[in-house]
Amino acid sequence: MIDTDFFNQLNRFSLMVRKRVSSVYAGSRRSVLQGKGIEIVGYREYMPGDDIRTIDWRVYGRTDKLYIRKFEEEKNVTTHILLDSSKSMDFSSNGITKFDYAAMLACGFGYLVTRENEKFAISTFGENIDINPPKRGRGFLLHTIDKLNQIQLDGKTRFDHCTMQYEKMIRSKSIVIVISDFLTDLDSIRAGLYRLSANDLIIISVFDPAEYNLTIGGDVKLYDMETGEVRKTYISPKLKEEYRTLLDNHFGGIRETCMHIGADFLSFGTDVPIFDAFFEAVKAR
Amino acid sequence: MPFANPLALLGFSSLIPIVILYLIKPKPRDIKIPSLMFILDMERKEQRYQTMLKKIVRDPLMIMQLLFLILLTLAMASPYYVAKETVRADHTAIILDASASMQAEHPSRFDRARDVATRFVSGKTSIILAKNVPVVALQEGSRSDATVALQHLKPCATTANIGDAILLAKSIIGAEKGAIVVISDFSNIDSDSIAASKMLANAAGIDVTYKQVGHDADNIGITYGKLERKGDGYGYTCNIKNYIDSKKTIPIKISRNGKKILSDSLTIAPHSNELFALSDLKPGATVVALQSGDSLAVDDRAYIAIPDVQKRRILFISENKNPPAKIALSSLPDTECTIVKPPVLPSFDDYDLVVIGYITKDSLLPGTFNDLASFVGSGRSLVVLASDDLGKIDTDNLLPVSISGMKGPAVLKTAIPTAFTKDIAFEDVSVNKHLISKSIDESIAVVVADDESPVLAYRKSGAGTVVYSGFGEGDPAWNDFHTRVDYPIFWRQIVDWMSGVREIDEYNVRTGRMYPLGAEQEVVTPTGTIVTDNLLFDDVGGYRIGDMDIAANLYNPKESDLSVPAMPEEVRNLEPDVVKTDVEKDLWSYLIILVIILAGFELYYLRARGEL
Repeated sequence: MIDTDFFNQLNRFSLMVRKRVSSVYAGSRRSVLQGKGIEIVGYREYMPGDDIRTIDWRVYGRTDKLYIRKFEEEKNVTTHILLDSSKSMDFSSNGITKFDYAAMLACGFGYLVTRENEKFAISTFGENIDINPPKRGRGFLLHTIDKLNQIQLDGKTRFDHCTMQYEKMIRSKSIVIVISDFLTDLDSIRAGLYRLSANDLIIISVFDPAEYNLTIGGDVKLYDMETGEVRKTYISPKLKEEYRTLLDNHFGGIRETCMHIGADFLSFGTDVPIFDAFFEAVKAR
Repeated sequence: MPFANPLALLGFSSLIPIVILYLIKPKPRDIKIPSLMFILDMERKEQRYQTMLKKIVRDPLMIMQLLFLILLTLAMASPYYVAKETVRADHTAIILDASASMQAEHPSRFDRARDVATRFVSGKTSIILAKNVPVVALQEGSRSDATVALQHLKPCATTANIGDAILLAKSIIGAEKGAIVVISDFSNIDSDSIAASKMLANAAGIDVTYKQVGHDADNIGITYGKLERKGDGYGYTCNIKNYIDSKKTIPIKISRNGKKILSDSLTIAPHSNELFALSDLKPGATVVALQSGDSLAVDDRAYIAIPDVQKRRILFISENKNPPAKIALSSLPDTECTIVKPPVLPSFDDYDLVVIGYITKDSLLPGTFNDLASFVGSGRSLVVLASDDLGKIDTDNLLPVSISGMKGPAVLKTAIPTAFTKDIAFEDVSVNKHLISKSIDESIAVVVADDESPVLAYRKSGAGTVVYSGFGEGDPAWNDFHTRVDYPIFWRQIVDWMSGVREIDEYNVRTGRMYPLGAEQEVVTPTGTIVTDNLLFDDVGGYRIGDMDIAANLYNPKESDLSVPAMPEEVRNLEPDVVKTDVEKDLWSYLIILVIILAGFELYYLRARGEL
């Protein structure tokens, strides 16, 4: 169940857009990039080829030199949140499932976007993606929360396949937030991330603390939550060590891809307070 | 497959508890951790072969433990198979010459003999080491037993009695069908004895064949050595022989107690001898080493052992001032003789030996013999010499004889030869009168008169010894023993015997000598420490028995002569007669190797799982 009490704590946060955006609609989101707009952020000397409409003639009158005005680019951005709803997200060792935690993060981002009167969409994906078109408004947010509370987690994760489907509906440069446990083939994850790299991309990995710190040992019967496969094995200290290394390598590979495409990569255990997770996510930008 | 020890197969019952333990072990826990399953799947894709193996072998540790027990049980049951092999079929007795000359050459003649011997090993093999007394190294062993036994044999520094070895081999083979193979360099052998033994073996239907090893080799060696007392020290003389066709100059190094004390050299003409002498040798271990670098090392060193004898303090009690017995005792080396006139006597505690010479009935104070009994009981010695009144004196039953009177001339004879009567001709002593006496119980009469009266007798009393000498202290009215040349020798021998000092030759022996120890005891030999009750000096060098050091040397010119006598061609090129026969091949050793490998693999597996 998604707990929305934390929304009040998010009022002090604002999601900053990093990429140049182009839209016919004007929004109020702050940008770190300069371009066409109204607010002047500085001057520079005129260079041949610059738009002569940007020359500040009053400065020319005082200095006899041609200076052009630099404006903060105005922006209007849609936030696409892709939320993993595969069966592996249904795992919990401390009361809150990975999906619940991920959904709270997704809704939190939706809340921040709604406050800025921007459009957002939360689409869940597993073997296929359930695409929701982006919309504005608190009503849409509450509808989305209600929908997420009803969702049945099922199946495996086909990340590449799902991102391919979703990419078609991103019409302009947007913020894309992917929240998943990323327990799927690294090549598939890489392909999906490259596909979304044209956007301002935030990748959030969610894990359960029990997945990182294995406390079990000896003979065990392992159940695959996504496929139902059963496997008997012996968990030795050496296997635990190898498991930790392989897990680190897997997420290291995702982090490396994110660095390569300029995406933010964040990783949260479900034992991290949701406010701290948001603080970390917003601080990173 | 046949088993030599089928009862050991009962060991398979040990598999039951292992299987039960695995059957009753707790069921695996049900775990749902998505990341763990994901990572294991990922690993499985990378190691497809291992995963397939894991599917077949669910619990490798159990399989390993079961295999371990199965292989161990099988190994204990000693399985074997029968194969056709080319071997000697009969019981073969191999006689290996282990004499000193077999140590010559590089590789040594003995090593070559051992290699040859492996070719003569049959299904049933006995191995005899021909030393001066033959030693059975293996009796009716298998091929593998013989191979192992051969590896542990080594030559010694004695002569070889091959004739006796053949007779011993004949008795081991007994009524069986068999053959004797003698492998030797055939130098320094008693060919008549060998021929006689061979004939005896042939008469019993046992074939005796010879195999000669070795070639002529150069040698310069110490072939004789003699140690003699000279004054306060000892003189050593040895003979060094050059067996080479050319003149040689040999550096000689002398060391005492491990420290070099002298260097010298000696030039010896071809096939000639030279004497080398050392004087004033002090107690300790002295080694004369020839630095010749020839083919035989055992005769390049002479070991000399001189015991460190403590000064023996002797109290001579006599009414006479300087009797011949006292003069003889005073002349002995390492002794200090004091003569006192009774009745006032010093404390006996300051003396090792008390000699009572001529005394009268009233000479000694009452209780003197009581004190002497305590003195002897504490491990020291008493010699009582005959005198006219001895029979009338109460000796507190200390004497080994009881005296009943006096008699005239007598002829003496040695009843029991002892260390202190060696080389002394008592038969030649002219006796004018002697005491009529009789041995008491537990005494030993060594020399007796023709009337059976003991003239020289001894007995043990407590920890000490009491000797009765019927010769007196040297009165011509009694006998002429004190005028004879062997009189001082008699006293030296009796004092040495009583104080536990042996002849110098007892400390310097030739190899091959047997030394009975009475009971098992530890002996330090030149090659290590052994426990034995009958020591054979079969190596040159120093031996330590208790606190006694003994030097053993070869001193044998025939063993030092490394020329190999010409033998018929077939003797040099003898090959074993072989037949195809069934041979039992043991498999237990291979199984034990498998068990060890499996145990190692199990440890490795546990370590790989991080559990060790």
